[in-house]
Amino acid sequence: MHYFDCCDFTIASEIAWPVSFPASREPEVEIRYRNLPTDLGEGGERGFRFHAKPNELLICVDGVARYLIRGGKEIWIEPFPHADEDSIVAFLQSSVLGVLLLQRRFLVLNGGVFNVDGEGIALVGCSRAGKSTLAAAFQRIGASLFSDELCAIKQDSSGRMMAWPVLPALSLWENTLIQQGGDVTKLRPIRPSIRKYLVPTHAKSLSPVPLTQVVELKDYHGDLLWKTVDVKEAITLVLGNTYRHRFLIGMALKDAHFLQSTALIQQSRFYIAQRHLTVTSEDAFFHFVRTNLAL
Amino acid sequence: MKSIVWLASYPKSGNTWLRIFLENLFFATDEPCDINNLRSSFMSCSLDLFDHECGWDVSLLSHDEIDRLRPEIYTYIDSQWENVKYFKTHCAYSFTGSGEAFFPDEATKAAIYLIRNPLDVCISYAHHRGYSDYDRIIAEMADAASCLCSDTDQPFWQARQKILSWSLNVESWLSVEGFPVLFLRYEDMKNNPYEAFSRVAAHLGVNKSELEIRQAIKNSSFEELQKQESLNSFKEKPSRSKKFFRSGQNGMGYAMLSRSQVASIIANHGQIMAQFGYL
Repeated sequence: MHYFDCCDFTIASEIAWPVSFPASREPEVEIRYRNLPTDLGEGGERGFRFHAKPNELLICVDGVARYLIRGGKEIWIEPFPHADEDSIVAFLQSSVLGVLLLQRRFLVLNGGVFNVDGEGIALVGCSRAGKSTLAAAFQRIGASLFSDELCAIKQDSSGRMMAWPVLPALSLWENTLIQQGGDVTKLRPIRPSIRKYLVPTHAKSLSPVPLTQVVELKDYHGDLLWKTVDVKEAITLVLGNTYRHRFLIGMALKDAHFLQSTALIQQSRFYIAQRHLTVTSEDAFFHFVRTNLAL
Repeated sequence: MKSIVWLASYPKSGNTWLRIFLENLFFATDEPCDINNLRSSFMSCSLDLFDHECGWDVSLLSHDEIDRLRPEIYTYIDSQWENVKYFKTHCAYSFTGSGEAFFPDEATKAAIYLIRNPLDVCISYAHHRGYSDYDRIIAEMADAASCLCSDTDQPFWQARQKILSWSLNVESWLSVEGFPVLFLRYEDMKNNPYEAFSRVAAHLGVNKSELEIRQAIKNSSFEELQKQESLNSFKEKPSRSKKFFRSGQNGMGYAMLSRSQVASIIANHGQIMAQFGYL
């Protein structure tokens, strides 16, 4: 078995992860190979390739594996014939881990988090909004990266919404890596058929920090725009960037999600950073966001 | 349910114009719809759409893997979504590696295929791509293996689209047997919009009055689209293009292409051009 930390828990896994935080406590989550059902029976929320019910969710990735995530404590995997381990891990470390975090009562947003002087700043937005690219740019100026795809937030004993480190790695496309001076020949693709790479951040600490600012990256059809968001809009922003809303419905986690969202809205400042995705350069957008965050 | 309608065309043949007309028709008001907020039609190759349905990050799949999913996703959407769904596509009517049609008969109500004189497509497409070299577009329009969004080294928002050559794109949709396809010339939409758009409404089984169709045409006029783009830009405009709604005129190909370029396009596509009255 392989042992490693993620957020506030430790995982024991039959399958190795290419990057992870070292284990520091007794494992609470197990990842094992098992034969799985193709369906969870009656009821629940069904999608084209998932079935969510209270406390359990089944995901099927064609040609790779079926994953059953149960009770926030078990991940069972049944690979398809000829599936390679890198592909199994790629979906395990993204979508499957996201489900586990939801089941463990994290508020999960689509995005990354970095730590600047003990404060968490989240970059959220839809897929392919440029979150990882921007997170990498902030890392280059000294920010400590907590995650780039799953923003995991949990209330601590004093009621503060804390952002937790998820994985010590960035997922970057080859083109972005080369633009940033990276050497792809020294990296392994996330999957054999994909030119996207897992770049270790070498972060060591697993201490959470209060999430104080949330920036939504938006594709827009006009000029660069920075907007401070009021409470009403913040609700829309959090709901709109909630990780896999349909999973929450199926797993009966909507009420918990609402309470978590409310706590976050009371604690954090929210902004929208808009750009024309195909016009604004990554560099210009980074400087724009950095200037507005006064970093 | 057979509830999907494909709005198909080679690029720069009036597809966006048709989508905006339908938006104005379905959400009929005196005011033109917002071209940056079209609610009645969807991009058939949107990865956001596929992510939403699958529940996992589809961009972790290769283009071939996404291709294999597409027919089944469309069939699933057909079975789950309410009402008729309008999907834009530039893909040729083609098949996955295992021989399944990307646009499954069992999910499809109908298709509308827009065709435009390839001489004019060439000019418009060159501006759209930010090319000053028409020969490059002429070569692309003749490329039987041409694809959109086929990059593999950077984030992609849409699945790979096999558009093939201009002629093959048209021929592929002419070969459809499993559902009705209305072929509509851009030039007829331009010269006689009421008749052309009435044919669209009739083909779709949409019961709208003459007044409603005329109002939707007015709200979708090229001048209106240009006005909105100049005020608020247009989110589907590619980075290298100065304007999405640039000219829209017919006959620009003959005016702007050299004799040898015109001859080249006719040599590549003459048969289909003649079939649709362009020669």
